[in-house]
Amino acid sequence: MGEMHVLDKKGDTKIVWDREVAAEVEAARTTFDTLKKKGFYGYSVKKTGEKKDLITAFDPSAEKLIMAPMMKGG
Amino acid sequence: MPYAYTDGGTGTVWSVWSDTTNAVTADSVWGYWVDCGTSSGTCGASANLPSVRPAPMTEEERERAEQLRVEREQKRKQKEKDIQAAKTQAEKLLKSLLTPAQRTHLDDVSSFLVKSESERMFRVRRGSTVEELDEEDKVIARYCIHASWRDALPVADTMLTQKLMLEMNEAEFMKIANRSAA
Repeated sequence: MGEMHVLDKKGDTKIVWDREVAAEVEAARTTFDTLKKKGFYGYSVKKTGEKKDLITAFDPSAEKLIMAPMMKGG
Repeated sequence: MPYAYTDGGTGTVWSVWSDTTNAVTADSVWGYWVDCGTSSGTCGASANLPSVRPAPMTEEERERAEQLRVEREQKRKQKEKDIQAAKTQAEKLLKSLLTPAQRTHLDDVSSFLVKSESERMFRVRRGSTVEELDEEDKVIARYCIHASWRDALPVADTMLTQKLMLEMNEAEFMKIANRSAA
């Protein structure tokens, strides 16, 4: 199962997908694409937290994706 | 002729306001309005305004006001609960993505260390400040960076984003963050 955590005001919203189920993969991909358009960054990490990659396209084989909002200097 | 704002009086504040035949000026209208006494200063005559108190509330109005007060209080409490729940959720996610050493550091001193893409060492503190450290753990620079909608994002989410940026998107971090010398 892949999982995506979208950081938001509730802490985070979790979206999961079964890599074998096309509809779930597609739904997760759509969410990813929508968030990217809003300026979110996608980070792929291992389930243990170890870093992997900054990603610009949805990867259905990812273990865990963290979608982080746009940042600005304070 | 005295101007008095009373029931059945000889005139009203409005009469004073609109009177242009008795050399009444804007100053004297204010005087009449607040009842500045008799024939002194800019007041041509006294205007005795009754003390205006709001009419007492009806039982129905009292009940409605109480209902609104209770609703506001419930909303406020729910909002506090939501904020606390978000904080807990964000802390849980952050800690799940830290090493044991980072988790301990976070619990002890509210910060953790991160090695960036370029192998530099940073300390991510609670809030929006990230410190760059030298080999002797001395602070050599500070960076301020937070979410665009910062007030809505729990602190732990900001810390997580800072960590991920340093580890995987350092160039963007440096481009965006406001840097200041130590």
